[in-house]
Amino acid sequence: MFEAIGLKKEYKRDGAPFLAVNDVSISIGKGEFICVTGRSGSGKSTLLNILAGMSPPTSGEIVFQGRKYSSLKDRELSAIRGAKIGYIMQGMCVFSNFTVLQNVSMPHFFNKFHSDAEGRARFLLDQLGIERLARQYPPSLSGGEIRRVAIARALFNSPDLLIADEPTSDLDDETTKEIMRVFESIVGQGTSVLMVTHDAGAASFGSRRYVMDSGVLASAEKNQARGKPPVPLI
Amino acid sequence: MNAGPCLSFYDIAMSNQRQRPFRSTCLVALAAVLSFMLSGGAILAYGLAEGADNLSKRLGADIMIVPSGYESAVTGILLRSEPSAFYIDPDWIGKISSVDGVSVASPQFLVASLNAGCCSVPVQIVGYDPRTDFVIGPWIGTRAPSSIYGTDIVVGSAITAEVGGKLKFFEREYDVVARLDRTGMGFDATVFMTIDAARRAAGDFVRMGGHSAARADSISSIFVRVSEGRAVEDVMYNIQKKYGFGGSGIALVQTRRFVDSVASGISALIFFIVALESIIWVMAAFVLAIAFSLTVSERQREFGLLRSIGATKTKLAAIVMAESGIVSFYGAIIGTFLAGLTVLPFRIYIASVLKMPYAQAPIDRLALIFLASLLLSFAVGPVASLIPALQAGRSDVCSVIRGGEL
Ligand SMILES: Nc1ncnc2c1ncn2[C@@H]1O[C@H](COP(=O)(O)OP(=O)(O)O)[C@@H](O)[C@H]1O
Ligand SMILES: [Mg+2]
Repeated sequence: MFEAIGLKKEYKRDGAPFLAVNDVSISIGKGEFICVTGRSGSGKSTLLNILAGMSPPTSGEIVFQGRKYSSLKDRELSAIRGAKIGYIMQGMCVFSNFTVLQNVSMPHFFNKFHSDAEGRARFLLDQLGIERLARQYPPSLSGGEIRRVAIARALFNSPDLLIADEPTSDLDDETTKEIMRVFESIVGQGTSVLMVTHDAGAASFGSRRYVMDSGVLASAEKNQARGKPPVPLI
Repeated sequence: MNAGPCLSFYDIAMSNQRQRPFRSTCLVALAAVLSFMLSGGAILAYGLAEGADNLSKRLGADIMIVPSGYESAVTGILLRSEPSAFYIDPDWIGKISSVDGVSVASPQFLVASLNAGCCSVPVQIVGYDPRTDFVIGPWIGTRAPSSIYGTDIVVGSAITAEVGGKLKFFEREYDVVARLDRTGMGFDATVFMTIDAARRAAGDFVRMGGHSAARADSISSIFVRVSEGRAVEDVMYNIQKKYGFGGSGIALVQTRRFVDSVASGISALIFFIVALESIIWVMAAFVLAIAFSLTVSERQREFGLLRSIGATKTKLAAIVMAESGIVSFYGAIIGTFLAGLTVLPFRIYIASVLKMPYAQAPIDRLALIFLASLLLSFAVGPVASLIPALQAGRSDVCSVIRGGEL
């Protein structure tokens, strides 16, 4: 479904070029839960940006559902980001001057896939257990609640691939587990998830695991079959 | 903003303004100042242009004869409301009329009234001879000029008096029998009466303790029209040949040359105003461009987020342009509104301060001027944000995630 081949991203550091992403190839099948760990600065966010079509690679190609990124116009790539990929960016990723409800339904402004945007947003908020916060503004929410808002927004257009960049950093263990359960249930419904984390707890989730180091992506040892099957949530 | 989830373009563009109220207020104020200056300058330039235009088109005389040394005082009377009074010997009417090539010579008698009760500007009283006049008559709408006599007066369009009403000068009442059309010249702040009435007014003035150099039969100036087919220069030459070039105590002003010099002075002034306004416009554009370019680079993360949920580069650019458009729109509305508030009630006062009673564009023209400066100052926002808008679309979102130094 999703295939990246030979991705490289070159940046300049003190005038000298270096590869933030160095020859990364990865393929993601339907309903897979992939987990990438790695030290800070190893190029994880850079890689996710490229995969999400936010930033063009220096070289390499991405094919998503048969379409090559390099052959797509900005408008088409933006439509893919809006419709097929949900991207939860690293760090604070909600609009603090819009309500939770507006944040979640923001994708509707760019791509009108749902006739009832409010209904869809409220449904997602309900699924994530934060319906009651619909009219609040993000500054009054806790870190876990803000993450849920971001997740709800990423799911707004029912993406085929959910990309999450450290979705559980600065969350306590309990909240981390809840968020992971949300991801598992998303995966259970056939959505693929690609998650970056350096949270050891979160890293134990995922059906396939990778480690990133200095721009190079390497497979970690195969995950053992997990005891509990994921509970469908959404 | 609506609290519902269906965001409009306006909501998204507006949210940034709400987040930075101080900055937005300053930028709106800047745009307001711009549109205020644009409207004000445009009104002034319009009045000037109209004055120059009317003057050259409609001052019927070919030659004006005034006491030598008073050539520039004529400018004051014709162009601004700068009342003055000067006198020459009445014999000159006969002398000039007899010169070859002179078709009509019509005398005028000037009384400078300082502050008449009627008027916010000092009024010029002009006595003219309705029988020979060809300068004032065309401006009096329908009424036959010859029917003006006794204490009848004709008022300029800037003088507040009703036709049929009365006005008092030097403790004598006059009947307003007609009103001049707008001339766009000093005539607008002038009161016209017969020469006899004006001489009597000068007498009233002296009786009240004023000083006047006029003799009982003085005249101030003579307006000359040359015969059909005769060159103005030739007739001037004839006059000068007959009565001597210097020492005669009179000066000849060739109207066209005078008008041309005044008109070129006015167009220089208009050019200056327009240049100044263009500079202000460009400066406002630069300030807005800098302000928006700064916010764009400090908002890389926000733009990255918008990109991640499907915003195209074009849409981002449109959002940035809409933001600055909102700023300049509100600024333009406020500035033009304030200009209207200032100019409309005070335009007579402003005109008098500028000594240009005619610099009062009629309301429909004002509306047009306001609309034009509204549009121009509104346009400054989107134009200024063109480059910041492109920056917003162009940014490499990779660095966005890291906090965005670009
Ligand atoms: N726009 C950029 N310009 C230059 N260097 C960058 C840019 N973005 C990221 N980098 C560098 O690339 C490396 C990888 O960054 P990043 O992908 O954010 O790492 P991670 O997410 O794994 O912590 C870092 O060394 C970072 O400094
Ligand atoms: Mg990162």
